[in-house]
Amino acid sequence: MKRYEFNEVTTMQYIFLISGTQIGIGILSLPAQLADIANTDGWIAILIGWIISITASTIIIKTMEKHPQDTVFDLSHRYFGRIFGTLIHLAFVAYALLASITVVFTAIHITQVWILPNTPNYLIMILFMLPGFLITRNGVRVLGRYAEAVFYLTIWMPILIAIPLQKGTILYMLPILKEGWTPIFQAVKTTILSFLGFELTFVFYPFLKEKKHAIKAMVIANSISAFTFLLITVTCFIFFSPDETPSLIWPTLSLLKTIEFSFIERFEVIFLSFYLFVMSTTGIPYIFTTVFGMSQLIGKKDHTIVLLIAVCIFILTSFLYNPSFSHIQTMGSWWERYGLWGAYIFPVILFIYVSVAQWFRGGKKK
Amino acid sequence: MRRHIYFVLCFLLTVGCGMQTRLDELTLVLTVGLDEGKNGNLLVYSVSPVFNKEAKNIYEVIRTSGLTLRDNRFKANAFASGKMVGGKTQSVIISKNLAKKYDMFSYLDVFYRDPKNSTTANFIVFDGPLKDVMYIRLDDKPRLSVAIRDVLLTAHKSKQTTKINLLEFRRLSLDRAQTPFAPILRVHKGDLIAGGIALFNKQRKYVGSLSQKESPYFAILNKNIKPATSLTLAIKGLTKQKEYVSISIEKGDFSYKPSFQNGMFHFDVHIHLGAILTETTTHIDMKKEKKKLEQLLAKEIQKQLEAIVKKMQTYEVDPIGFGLYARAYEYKPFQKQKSWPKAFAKAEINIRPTVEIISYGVLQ
Repeated sequence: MKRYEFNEVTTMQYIFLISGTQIGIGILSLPAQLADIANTDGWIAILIGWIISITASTIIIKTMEKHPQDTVFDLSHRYFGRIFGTLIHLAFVAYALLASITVVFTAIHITQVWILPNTPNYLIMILFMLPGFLITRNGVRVLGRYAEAVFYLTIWMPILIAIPLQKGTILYMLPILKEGWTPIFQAVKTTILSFLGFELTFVFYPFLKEKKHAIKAMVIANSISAFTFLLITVTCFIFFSPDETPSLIWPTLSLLKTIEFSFIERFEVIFLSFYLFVMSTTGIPYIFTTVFGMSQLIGKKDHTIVLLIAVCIFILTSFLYNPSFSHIQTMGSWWERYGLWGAYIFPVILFIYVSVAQWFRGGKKK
Repeated sequence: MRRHIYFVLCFLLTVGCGMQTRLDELTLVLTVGLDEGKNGNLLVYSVSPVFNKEAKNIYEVIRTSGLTLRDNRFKANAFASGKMVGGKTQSVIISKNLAKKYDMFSYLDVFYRDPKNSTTANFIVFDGPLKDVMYIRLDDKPRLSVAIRDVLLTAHKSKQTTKINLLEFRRLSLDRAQTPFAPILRVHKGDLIAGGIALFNKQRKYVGSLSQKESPYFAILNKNIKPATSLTLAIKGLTKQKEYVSISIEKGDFSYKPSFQNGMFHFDVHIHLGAILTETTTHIDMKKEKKKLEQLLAKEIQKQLEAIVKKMQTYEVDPIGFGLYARAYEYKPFQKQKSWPKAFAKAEINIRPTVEIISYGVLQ
C-alpha cells in the first residue's frame, strides 16, 4: 500500500530538498566559527563532518528501509507503544518547530541588519510567511519542485563568491595542520551541526519514488552541501587574514561587500535578497515537518488548517517579540544541542532498537 | 481567495513607497577627513557634492568637532542641507598628527561595524593639517573628492605611492604577520600631490614613511609591478662618466625563502625582473655590454631594496608580509615570537635581484 502516492518526489527533487535544507543560515557564520576554533585548518573539519553526516544519513535510510511507507511519526507509534510513541512524535515536532523558529527569526534579523534596517520585523515576517504558506500547504511534491527550482535559480551564487578569491593570499592556508589534529576535532562538532537538515529524511523518505536510490541521493545531497561549505570557508580564509575571520559575525556577507562593479554598489544586498530563497528552502521543510507532525498527532489528514494557525502564530509573535541578536544566538545553540541528539544520536539508537525488535519478533526481514 | 491574496501582496509591495529618498535631498559624503582638534576632540571634515543649480560651489565642506566619528555625523546633520549618507564614501583621509598619536581602529570602527558604510573607501594619510587640503582651491580640477581620488589612482598606477582600502587596512592590521601601510597625500604650493607611503606599526599608529622615490621599490617587494614600474637608475662603471638609465619593469618572478637558524629568521629573496630599456643618457653598446649592464642595474636595485628593508626594520614594521612566509614555512618558531615585527627587525634578509633586459627599443 502506498500512502503517499500523490505526493511522491523524484530522486533529483529529493537531493535538492535535503541539500537545500542543509544549506541555510549556518553557512553565513560557519567560517568565523571554524576559524575561531581551528584557525585556517577548519576546512579539514568540514571533510570529517561530511563523512559523519553521510554515515548518519545512511543509518537513517537503513532504519527507514524496514518500513518504507512509514515516516518517523508512524515508526515511533509502531515501535514504542502509545505513550512513548507520542512522546517521541512530540519531541520530533518540537525539534522541527525549534529549527523553523530559529531559521525564520535569523533570516529576519539578517535581513534587518543588512538590507532593511528601518522596516519593522512583522512586515518582513508577513512577507516571508505568505509565499511560505502557499508552498507548504501543498505537500512534499511541491516542496521538492520548489527546492529544485531554487537550486537552479541560485547556482550562480557560489561562483560569485569565488570572485574575491583572486585577491586572496593562499599563504594564509599554510601550514596545514598548524596545531595538530586536536583543534580540528573540536571544530568537527561545529561542522556536523552545519550539516543538519538530512535528519528530515525521517519524514521525507516515504515520499521518495525510487527508494533504491535513497542512499545515493543522500550521499549526493551531503556532498553538494559539503562542497558549498568548503568553497565558502576556504574563500573566507584566503580573503581575510586568519586573525581577522573570527572577528566577523557573518564573514560570508562581509566578503560580498567587497565585490564592487562600476554600475552597482553594496552587492551583498542583491546577493542577500537572492539568498532569501536559499534560506526559505531551509525554513519551509522544517515548517512543513512541524505542521505535518502536528496534524498527524491530532489525526487530521490535511495539514492546511494547522499550517494556517502556525503561520498566524508566527506573525502574531513577530508583532509582540523582536528577538535581539543574543536571543537568536541562544536559539541557534538550542537547535544545535537538540540537533546533535535528533540527527546523530537518535538515529543510531533507533536503528539498534528497530533491528533488535525485528529480530525478536521473528526476523521478518525484507 | 486567490484574488484576495494578490490584493494583499500588491498592497505590501507599496509599503516602501512611503519612505522614499531622493538623491538631491541627500548629502552624500564622498570624502571624510579626520584631524586632531582641541582638547583631544576629533575634527571631522565631510566633503559632499552639491547638486543644487543655485548654489555657487559645486561641493560643500562641513567641519565639525566632536568625540567620535558618529558623534560628529550627528552634529554635522545640523549644518548639512540634506540627510548625511556615509555609504558612498570614496576616501578617508587621516592627518599625520592624528595617525601618530592614536590607534586608527578607535576611529575607523564605525566603517566596519555599520554594514551601510562602505569598506572599499581608500585610506589616505595627509601630511599636514587637514584644513590645507579641505579648503584648497583647485580651479583646474573637478570636485575635490574626485580630484583626490584621481590624483591617488594615477600616482598609484605609476608606483609613486600605494593604494589601500579600509578593508585591506583592517586585514593587515589584524594579521599578526603583517603591519598596515597607507598612501600619503600632501599639498605643495597649491597642488595636490600623492607620493610616498606611510608605515603603521602593530598598534596601528604612524611610525614613519617611505619617500616617493622609494615607493616603486616598495611596489617591487610587494610583487606589485603591473602594468609597469619605471625606474631611473644612476649607474657607474660602463663608461667613465656618470650615466642614467631608465628601465620599465614589465614582469617579475619572486621567491621568498624563510629559514630559522640560531634564534633568528633568515630570508632569501630572489627577484627576477624582466625590464625594457627606455632611456640612457650615454651610448651603451647593447650587443657587447648587455650582460654587464644587467648586472649593474641589479646591483643598484639591490642597494635600493636593501635600504628600504633596513628602514622598515628600524621602524619595526612589516608591510611587505615577510611574516606570511615565516608563518607558512616556519610555523613553530613563528608562533614562539611574542611580536612578529620585533622578530622581523632582527631578521637577516638577503635580497638578490637579477635583471633581464627584454628589449631596448628601436635603437641599437
